[in-house]
Amino acid sequence: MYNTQFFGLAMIIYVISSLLYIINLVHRRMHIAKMAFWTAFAGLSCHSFALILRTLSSYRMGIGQPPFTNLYSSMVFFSWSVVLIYLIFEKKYGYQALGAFVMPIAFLILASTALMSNQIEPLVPALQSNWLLIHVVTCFFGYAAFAVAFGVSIMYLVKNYYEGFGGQNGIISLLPSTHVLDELEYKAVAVGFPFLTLGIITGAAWAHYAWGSYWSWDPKETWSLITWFVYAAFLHARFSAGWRGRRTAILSILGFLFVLMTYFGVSFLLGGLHSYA
Amino acid sequence: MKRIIKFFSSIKLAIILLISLAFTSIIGTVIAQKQNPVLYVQHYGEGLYKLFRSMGFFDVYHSWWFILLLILLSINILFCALRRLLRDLRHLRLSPTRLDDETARKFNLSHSMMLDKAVSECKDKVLSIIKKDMGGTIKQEQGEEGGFFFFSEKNRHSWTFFYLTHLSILIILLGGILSAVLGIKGYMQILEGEKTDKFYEYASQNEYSLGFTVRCDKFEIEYYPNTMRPKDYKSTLSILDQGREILKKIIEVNKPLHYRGMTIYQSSYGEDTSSGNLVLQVKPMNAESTELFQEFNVAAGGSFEFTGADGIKRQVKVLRFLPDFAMDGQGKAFSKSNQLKNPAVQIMVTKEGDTPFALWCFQAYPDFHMIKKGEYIYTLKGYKGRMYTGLQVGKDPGIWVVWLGCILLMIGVVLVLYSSHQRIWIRLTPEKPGCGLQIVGHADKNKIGFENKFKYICQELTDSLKQ
Repeated sequence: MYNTQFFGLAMIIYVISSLLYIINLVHRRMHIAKMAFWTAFAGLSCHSFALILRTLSSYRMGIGQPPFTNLYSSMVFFSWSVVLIYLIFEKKYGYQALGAFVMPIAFLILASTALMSNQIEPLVPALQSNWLLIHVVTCFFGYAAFAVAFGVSIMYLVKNYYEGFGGQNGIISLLPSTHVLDELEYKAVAVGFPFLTLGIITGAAWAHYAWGSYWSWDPKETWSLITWFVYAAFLHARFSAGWRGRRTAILSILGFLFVLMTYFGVSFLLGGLHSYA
Repeated sequence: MKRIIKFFSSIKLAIILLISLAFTSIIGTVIAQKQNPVLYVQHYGEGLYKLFRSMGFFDVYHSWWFILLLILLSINILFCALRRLLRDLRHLRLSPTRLDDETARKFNLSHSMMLDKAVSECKDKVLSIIKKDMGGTIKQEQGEEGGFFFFSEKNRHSWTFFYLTHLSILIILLGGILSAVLGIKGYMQILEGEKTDKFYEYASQNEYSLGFTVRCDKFEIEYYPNTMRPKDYKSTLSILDQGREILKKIIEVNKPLHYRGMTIYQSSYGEDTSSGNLVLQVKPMNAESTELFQEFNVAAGGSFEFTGADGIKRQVKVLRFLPDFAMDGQGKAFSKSNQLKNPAVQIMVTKEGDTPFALWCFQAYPDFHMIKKGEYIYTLKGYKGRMYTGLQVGKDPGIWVVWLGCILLMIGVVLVLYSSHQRIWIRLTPEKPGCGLQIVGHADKNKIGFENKFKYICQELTDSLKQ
């Protein structure tokens, strides 16, 4: 299975890219930042190629499925989404400093798949549906954008903590201003929230066609709704209650913990309809 | 009264409700819902079981307090929307198109410059710049004392998207209520070749009439090549209405059948374990050649006879057939399911002139037998019965309301997050010499993006007017 070797290669490239982003944080050289971006882009291309290979080989095996149907492949896809969303963010808003916090997250997610079985397994009948593609893609784009927001929120708290001491020293002063970080954090949540909403809605539609019930309070459904509530609270706190800065950063970090619970916790701790991934 | 309205329309209540709903929802994912009370007592003990039951922890999402939270949320949304509507309508009327000092103080994006040209000279240049850089609807007004005002506004309807988002949530909740009140969900099991017009509701186990008849022509399981992993469950169903065959369709998981408001889903399957035939093999112990093997087809509850190599007649009677053999706590045999997972048969062998004896034969363990020396070995080779298909039937009149709400919610969320109401005011006042220009801007979202745009417009104005 060549696809796993390309995933490995992508992982190595992400390490290099993360290092370049961190070096750029310290030295602030335009050519290093550019190199970091293009390295990440090369990693993403390699990653995409591996995803295509995996899909093709599943078709050759007579199983024929999109490349995210068990925990291994969903994590690989999660990491891919994080890099994609991040690179779009960087291209759009031009803050390379974020890369030093987000690229390592993408790398760690991909690295953790080394501990899992990478077999391509046939799909149980309930998963054979066109809804699978749109449901999983929307959910994971949502998760990925929340991961970016999480990285930015951590940066915010770090920057805010040191600024509290009046220190404008060293690396900290090289981070974007708290004002910018606050806005970027909101922007990432504003990308994640519609995707999560669509993910929940497509999941409900699928459940309706497969099981005849659009909502059955299955643990995964319930936790995704809880996550939705937390980010809805974030948006309300920001829009209506005028929260900014530290408090919204904490809410965004809390929200990402709920994302992790929805993604991993439910599968490992609670079971239910989604027990396959 | 005012305090009640204020309480129900506060953002604080909204955040408290969202967090309460989040945390109470967790209970239902940690405690298994709607299980058999016996299991709960086993797991939690009598005392805790009674406490949890009285608090509704075993059916959290239908408990009175969870429903109360949802009702409060609905009231909260409704009150917020109404209060906001009053405010928005007032603002809409009062929104100034002429920049005055009060407006200038209210918004923090502001810039002033002194120009050495007259108002009339600057007017056209200002207009062309805001047309190019801002767009939207532009208003121009001649003020008193030779002044001139510009007002440009973009996405002025973005305030309505709040209502779209929040009302769509109320629509989804309404759909949920319709589903719960008018919908019904049940199941039926049909043997291949049989038909029925009845189904059983899940919760109450009451029998309901479908209003038409469903016949199962065939049920089959498809496997992935060279594996025992199921690829698909398929039922060929025919719908009969008033004696006439209306339609025939193969349903699969993910591909249900719709007829007269009812939807029929493939849900489970099993084997008819009462009317099928068992295949029993009989062979002498220590037999070398397979020539002496004999096979008999026998119905559950039936019997057959054969004459052994010793010339003595033997009668074999089937006492019990269990498709999924298991033992309970007291060592009694029972069947765990109606699926052929561990088929076992208990037979009674009567040898002429000997006392009858009973024994169990397992299909999965052919070497497990308890036979006297020199006797015959009985092996269960298989079971040939008809399959039955397990169908879920239901109707859900709330579903289209829910989908409508979902679509509106999706549109609303995107618009609320991405459409920002942007405004720019410009005032030209005659001064000696030339004129003064003041520009003020405001956006309710994407403030950084708008700030950059505002700075750019100021730069353009400076460049073209100061030459």
